[in-house]
Parts: sequence; C-alpha cells; structure tokens
Amino acid sequence: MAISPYATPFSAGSLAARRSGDLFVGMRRELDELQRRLATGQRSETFGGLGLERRTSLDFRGRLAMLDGYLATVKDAQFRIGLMTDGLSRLDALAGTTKSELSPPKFDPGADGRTTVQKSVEERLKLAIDVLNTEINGRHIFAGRASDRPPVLDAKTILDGDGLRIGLRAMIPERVTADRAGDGLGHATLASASAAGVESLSISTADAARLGLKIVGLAENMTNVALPGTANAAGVTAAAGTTTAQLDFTGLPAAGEGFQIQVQLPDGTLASLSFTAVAPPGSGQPGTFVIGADAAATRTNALNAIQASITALMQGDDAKTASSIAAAREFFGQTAANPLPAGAYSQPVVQWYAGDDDLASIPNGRDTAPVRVDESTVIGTGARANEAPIRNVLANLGVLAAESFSNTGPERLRYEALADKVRRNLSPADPAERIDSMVSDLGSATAAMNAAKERHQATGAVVRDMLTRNEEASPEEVAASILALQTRLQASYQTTSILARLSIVNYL
Amino acid sequence: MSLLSALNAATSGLRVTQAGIDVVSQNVANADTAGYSRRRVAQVQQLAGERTSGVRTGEIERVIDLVAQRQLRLETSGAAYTALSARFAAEIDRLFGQPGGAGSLDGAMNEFTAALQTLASDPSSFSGRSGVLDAAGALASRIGAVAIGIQGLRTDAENRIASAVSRANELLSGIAAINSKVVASGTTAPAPGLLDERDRLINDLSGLMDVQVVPGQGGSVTLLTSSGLMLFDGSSAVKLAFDGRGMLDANALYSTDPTQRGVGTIAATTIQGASFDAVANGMFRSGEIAAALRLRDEVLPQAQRQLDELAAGLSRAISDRQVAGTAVANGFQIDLAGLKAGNAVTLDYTVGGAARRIILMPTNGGAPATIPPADAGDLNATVIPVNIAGGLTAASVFTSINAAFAAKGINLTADSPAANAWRFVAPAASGTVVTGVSAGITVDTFGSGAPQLPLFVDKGYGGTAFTGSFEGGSHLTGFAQRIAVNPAVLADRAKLVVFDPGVLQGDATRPQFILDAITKADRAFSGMTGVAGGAAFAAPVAEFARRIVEAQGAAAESAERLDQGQQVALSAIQSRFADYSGVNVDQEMAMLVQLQTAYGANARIMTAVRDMLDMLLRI
Repeated sequence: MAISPYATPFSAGSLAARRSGDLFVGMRRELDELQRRLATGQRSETFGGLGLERRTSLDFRGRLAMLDGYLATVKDAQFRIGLMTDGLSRLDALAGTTKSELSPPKFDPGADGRTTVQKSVEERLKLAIDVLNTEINGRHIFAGRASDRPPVLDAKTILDGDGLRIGLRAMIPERVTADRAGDGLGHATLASASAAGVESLSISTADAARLGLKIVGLAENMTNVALPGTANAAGVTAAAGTTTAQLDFTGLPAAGEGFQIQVQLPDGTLASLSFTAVAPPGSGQPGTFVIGADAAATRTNALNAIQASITALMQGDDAKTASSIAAAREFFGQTAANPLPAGAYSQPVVQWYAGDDDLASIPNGRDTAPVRVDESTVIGTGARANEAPIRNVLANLGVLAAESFSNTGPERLRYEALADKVRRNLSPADPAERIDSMVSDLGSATAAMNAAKERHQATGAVVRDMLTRNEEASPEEVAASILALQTRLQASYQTTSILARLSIVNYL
Repeated sequence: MSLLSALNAATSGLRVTQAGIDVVSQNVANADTAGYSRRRVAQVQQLAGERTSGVRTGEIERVIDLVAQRQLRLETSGAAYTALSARFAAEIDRLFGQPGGAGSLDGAMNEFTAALQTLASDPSSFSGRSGVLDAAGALASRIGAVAIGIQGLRTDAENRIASAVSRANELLSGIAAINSKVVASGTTAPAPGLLDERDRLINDLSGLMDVQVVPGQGGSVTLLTSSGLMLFDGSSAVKLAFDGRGMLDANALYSTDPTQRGVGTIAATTIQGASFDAVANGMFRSGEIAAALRLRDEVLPQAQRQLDELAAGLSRAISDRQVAGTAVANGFQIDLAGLKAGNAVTLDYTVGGAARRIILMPTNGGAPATIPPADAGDLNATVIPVNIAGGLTAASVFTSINAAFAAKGINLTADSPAANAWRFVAPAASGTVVTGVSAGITVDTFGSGAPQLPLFVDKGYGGTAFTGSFEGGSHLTGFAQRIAVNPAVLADRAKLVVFDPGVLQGDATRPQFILDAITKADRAFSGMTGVAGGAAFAAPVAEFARRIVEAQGAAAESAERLDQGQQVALSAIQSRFADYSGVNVDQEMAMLVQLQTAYGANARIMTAVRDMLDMLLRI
C-alpha cells in the first residue's frame, strides 16, 4: 500500500496508459498474494487482513490455548493417576500376599528370632516404601504438596531408628511395658465404696489415655446386685473423661450368677472378662469369686477376682500383641504436625513421613494435587503416604517385620496371636481404611477427567474448524481465483496491446 | 481586393498553420510531461478596417478545467493523508504478528497462560517453572518489541514531517519565483508554461498540506491552508521550520509548552516576520504533514498507551492485592497496609445521585503537584496527589486530602480511624454519599503469605515492582519497553510457588492465582487506550491483549478501506482532469492532418496567385 504512484503531480497526457500499467501491476500483486495464500495456506499475514473474523480468530486462539492447556493437564494427571493406581494396587497386593501367608501362620523363627514370613514381610515393607516414594519428573506422587522430596524414610531407619532417635523395633517392648502399667492393671483403676447398705465396686479408665485398657461395657445377671442409675446402655457410666463400670451390691448373689466386663485392648480389639459367683469355699479358678458373708465381703472378693483377671489379661499374648500393634500405629500415625506426646518413649522417635501433612487445611489427600480441567472443575489427583489406608498396611507390615520371637512354645502362641491380628487388620472393615477407597477415588477422578477431555476435544475440534474457516485460504478457492485472474490478466494484456497498436500515428 | 491581398491571406494562413503545427508538436512532445496541460492555438481573423485581410495566430491557451483542478488538489491532499495513515496502520498491524504465528502478541500471551496451566497442575516441576518464566520473558519482550516498533514508527513520522516541511519550503519558494515572473509579464497574457509550472508546484504542495488557491491581480495567486494559514500572499511565502528530534521514545510527546515538548514542531514565520507554532494552532488539516502529525501525536501514542496499559495490567494483576473499603457511618473506611506510591485509591461517591470519582494518588513527594486525569486513567475523575512519605496515616496526609477536598468543593472529610486505615465521611443529609473505596496494593515481596508476587519489574526504575507511581513522571509511560521478568524469580524459581515460609513446593495456590489473575479476574483499563471507544474497559489481561490486537487490526483495515476510497476519488478526478487537459496523441495527429491540409491549401493558393501574376506579367 504505497502512496499511489500517480499522485501529485502527474502527467495528464499519459494518465490512461499509466493507469492500465498500474492495473497490471495491481493484478500481478494480487497474483503474488494468491500465490502466497496457496503456499502458506493462510488467508492473511496480519490480523488487519482477516476482516471482521479477526475477533473470533483471536478469541478462538485464546480458547484453543486454554483447551490445549486443559488437555495437557489432563494427560499429565491421568499418567500420574495411572502410576498412583498401579502403586496402590501393588500395596494392596503386598497386603494380600501377607494375609495369605499368615493363614495358617507358620512358626519357624530363625537365629534372629524371626520367621520366614516375617523376613519376607520386611522385604515387602521396603517394596511398599519404594512404591510410596515413586517419582515422575521429579514429582513424588504420594507426598501431597511436598512433591519435591521422597515422603517416606527407608525401611531400615523406620525399623531401627537413626541413632539419635529410636525406630519401631525399640518402640514395641516399651509400649508393651507402658500399656501394662506398674501395677499390671493396664492403667485401669479399681475402687470400692460403702454407703447406706450399698457396697459398690468400680473399675474405671480415662477416655483420653494413650496407654492401657479402656472400659467398654458391663453386664450382670446377679440378684441383689445392680448397676448404678447413671449407667448407660452398655452398663457403664461415662463422666468427666472417665468411663466407669460399677456394681452395687445390696445383698448376696446366688451361686452361678455372674457379670462380664468388656475392655478394649490398646489396638482397639475387645476382650471380655467373665466372673461367676461360686459358693464358699470356692474353686480358686480364675474368673470366679466367692460369695462372702455379706455384701461387703462378696464385693471385695469380686474386686480381687477382677484384679487378678486384668493382671492376667495384660500379661497375655493378646494384650502384648495389641500393644505391639498400637505401637506400630502410633509410629505411623505421628507426623511433624501431629507428633507423639513428649516423653512417650524413652527417646525421640524417628519421623517416618516427610511429606505434606497439613491435615487441618486439606483433610482429603486427593485435594493436595488439585487439577483444573475446566473453567470451574477442579479434580483432586493427589495422595499422601500417611493416609489411613496406607498407614494401616505400613503399620501391620511394620509390626510383623519388627517383632521377634524365641523358639519356645509360649512364643508360638504370641506369634499366632500377632499373625491373627495382622491378618484381620489387613482386611479393614472401615472403608476409610481400605486402599480400594483411594483407588476408587482416583478412578472417579479419571472418569471426570475423561469426561472433561472428551468435552475439550469436541470443543477444540469445533473451534479449530472455525479457525480454519476464518484464517485459512482454501486451496480450491485460491486456485480458482488464480485461474480467473490469469484469464483476466491475459485478456487485459491482449486488449492493451491491440489498443496500443490502434493509434492514428500508424496510419499517417 | 487584389491578388496581393489573397497572397497576404494565404501567407498569414501559412503562418498560422505553422504556429498550429508548433503547438501540436509541443503537445505531442510533452504528452508525458508532468504538469503539462494541453495547449490550443486560436485562429483569429485579421481585420483591416472593416475587411478581413487574412488570419492571425490568437493566444496560445492552456486547456484547463479550473473546477477539476481545484477538486484535484483537494483530493490529492486527502489521498496523501489517507495513504500515509493506511501505510502506518498496516505497519502497526504487522508489529502484532501473524495470526497464529510464533511472534504474535496474542500467541505470546496464550503461551504464557498455557505455561501457567502446566505449572498449576504440577507446581513443583522444575521444567514447569522454567516454562512459566520463559513464557513470561517472551511475553514481556514481545510487548517491548511491539512498543519499540511503535516508537520506531513515530520516529519515521517525525522524519517524514521534516522532509515534508523542507519540501514544502522548496515548493513555496519555487511558487514565489514563478509567480513573480507571471506578474512581471504585466498586461500581456502570461506564458502558459509558467502557469503550468506554477500549477505543478501547487499540486505538489497540495500533497503535503491542504492548499487553497485564490487568484489575485495580474495572474498572481494567493495560497492559504483551509485553516487560514497564509502560505503565500502573492509576493512572499511563509517560512516553515521544523525542529525534528532524532529518536523518539514514549516520553517524547508533543506539548504546546516548548519546555515540555519532546518532539519537533513546525514553526511558521510569516511574511511580517511573526513566528508561531503551526502545530499548536492546528494549521494542517490534510495532506501528508497532517497525517504524519496525527500519527506521531495521536495514533502511535495511543498504541503505546495500549501496550503500556497491557504491561501495567499484566504486572499489577499478578502483584496487586485488591482491597475494598467497608461501610461505616456516613462513609467508608479502607485498610491500606502496604500502600505504595502510585497505588491509586479510588473513592466513589455521589452528589445528588450523580456518580463522581476521586483518585487519591499516593506519592513519595517526587510526583508533580498536579496529575492529569488522563495519566491516572480516568478522564472524568478528580485526581488528588497525596504525599505519604511521612507515613500512611500521618496528620499531614489528611490535612492535604481535606484541603484538596475543600479546594475542589467536595463535601467529604478524610481521617484515619485505625492504623493503616483511611476513612472518608460525608456529612449526613448533605446530598453527598460515599459509595465505595478501593485500592490495588502492590505486593513487592515473595513470602508475604499472599499469593501475589512481583513477577514483572520495571527495568527503568531500579528494577522494582511496577506500582503506577508518578515519582519523577508517570512510570506508566513507556513501561511496555521496560517490563521484564523479576530477576529474583529467575534466580529462585521456587518463588513462583512458595508464598509463605511454610508453603510446600507442590502447592498450586500461587500458580493458579497467577493464571486466574491473567485469564479470569477483570481489570479496569483506561479509556485512554481507545479499545472500547473512549470508555474504560474491564476485562482480564489476556482478553485485553487480544482486544488491542483486534483494535489495531480493525484500525489497519479501516484505514486501508478509507485509503482505497480516497484513491478511487483521486483517480476519478485525475481522469476527469486528464480527459480535458491531457494531451491525446490521436487528437493531436488528427489536428496535424488538418493543419497539413490547411497548409497545403494555403500553399496552393500562393501557387495559384503566382501563376496568375506570371500570366499577367507575360502579357
């Protein structure tokens, strides 16, 4: 678009001739432009040349960039979810294999006090940790938002500590002892009271206590014995952070009658203690108490029987393994933000999890990696290695790997008790503890992303098509234009040459 | 009645036909000469008393259509104006790049948002962070490159004015010289060649400016521009002088005040010796000079303003924390902790229902005493500079605000109800009602706990975050050339994610914030950008970038269309002029044949007369 070649001043005499010359130049230029369109496929080199379509063209390009961004995000997230699902399935498989190897448990401790299964479980623990430390492109997929570093310590440090701090192996015996308490009563408090013809006994535990037993329920079918009026449906009184099981003796129960106390072991499993009244002189069997001369004496006998039973329970394999499992849970339950209480163990405990543990602001692990797949759709694709299902697997594999047994008869029973508990724990009933709940979370995230992806692909195709129509020169159209222009140009040349020859000068 | 008188008549016929052939040959020879108009020789009968005694050559006259000529000059001015405008508009359009091309401005913006999307989905990724910084750098340099191109075009326009002015001076002195010859020829008809030459120069001049020709005494002419500037009064011409600058930048703007002026202006020295600024007086309304002036002082500065606003929007969308006031009795109060110089506090109020706006412009004392509303981005607002160097809630702040309110008759009072807070109250039932107060506070640190960060900095002012400051002049002007990615972020990419010491590397909050700030959050862009006519334009930054490209594309297209129309008008009038005044060789040849015949006939008469005289003498 130069300044018109015949601007000022011009020679009036040869204007016509020069104008046709300009027309030829113009047509040649048009031909060059068409040739450019044919070669580049673009209708215009600038936005100015697109005409009214430039707005849609600009907006579509912006939209397309967004859509491509979403699609890239979805692709990336789906790849990650694929790896995560794969990893979680492997964890589930590790748990499954362990379960099947434990039924029935084979007690064959070696020189180091560990059975074959325990040794392979330690390997599995390492494998599980490797899975949890999976990294793609520098991103640790089970670390939540702390994706720049591996979330889980290595198995050796977890089991044996790092020198300064103790590991799971050292925690277990400490916890067993601590749960038992100095008096061997598992932190339960036994008491008796007398008032106006009512002789009562009580056994109580603090609800918030970290260690020991928890009273859960009390049932009785004795004559002249009643539960206090404050007892709830489970037969216990919960008040001021303490749960108390109380029996009020107003007279003598009949022989053969009795009561049951239900307690919770440190790992959350329940144990029942049954007590039966027997006529004097009594058999001395555990779980019996002698009917005394009066209510007070009977109450005292019952109290002694309870004390003996609890002491026995706490020294039993069930309670010991429960403590072991509680220790493992405690170990894997602690985080930097939620540490063990000071002095819980003789030494500080290693912190196994180094990932994102901001449970207060992001309770759901999925939300640690939000992925925007649409204007307003945000899909959680994250996971944290300290989520309950993963912790459950780690704790149960960990306790099995950490424990050791001497090759004696009673130890076999403890091993079997542990194996039994681990086996049961690895098939948790609570959906929040199950790995497949995480997998299904991720599955629905994938499905939502697929839906978004299909939508974007469809929109993208339409937008791209519109863009093509806006911006691209169709080769057929251009070719036809070139042909038409060629014809016009040839005709003009011919006519001009004829006209030029048609001068009077030639005829003088 | 005699043979001799016949001989005389034939002789005069021969003379006249010779003169005719002379004119024909001149016409044919000059058929291609610029400015030459066809000549015609008139034959006049020679009278001896009452009798015709032969023929004589009349005046050799130019065949010229004065109406067409006037129209031609008008259209020539117009065509020169539109052609230059269209050419520059196309250049501006080209600066924004090819649709879908790698170097296009919108493409750079799209790449930036795409990189942010990637980063938001994987915030800890090193490559994702690099991608964002690369795209941000590319976008900043793209904006800068377009702005540099704009200033290059302004420099071109400046040079063009310089050459047009010197050409105009040459033409005017040429016209003066020829005109004096025309006038000197006195009562005899002036030579057509002189008139042609003078017309040619005037036509040439009309391409540079809008020239009106007024015929004067004795063939003299007077030249004026349509605005009334006397270019040539028949004896001497005005002297135009242009003090052009070598290189223009965004701060070099036209001003009627010579001390503020950063570009050249055309000084006209009149015949009487008075000198004045012809640009300030709007003396040029058409032609190349007017087009170049408009490009230099309006079109291109507006394009620069668009890019400046884009750069400022981009920078501040990411760095600014938007705060809004809360209603209190009879007014509003706003917490302005961290307010920087240039972070305008916008106070909206109504007087009798009519909306008004005050922009309180915080300064550190280095800003001009008055800030034009155009620079603050809202032509209708009252702009009050507030010196906060002594503290955000120092007594002097409110003294000066209240003094400014009183001076401008605004029925409001300002005070501070709490630390860092400003409060604006209107007297109850006064008809003045405060309707809101808001501010964008630039966050210039990285770990403040806010997702905002100074991702871009102003290279020209010590590499600090852009705040819209007026310290030492508007920082907005030319920011497009100076915007750059913050070197602190380049040095530590984690700053793109970690907005608080406790924030984890995989936290998507900040990348998502940046993305939303660019693509979703509306920002107000000044009406000075002309993107939505003269109205303020609220849109996300990414959208605004597209609207700029669109506006410039549309401007190029309409300039092109206008120019095509003008060129058609010009060529129509040229054709009309040429049809009448141009030499047509065919016509001339026909005339030649006619003259040849006449010559032969006259010669034949002479032969006959000679024969007859011979016959007489032989008797």
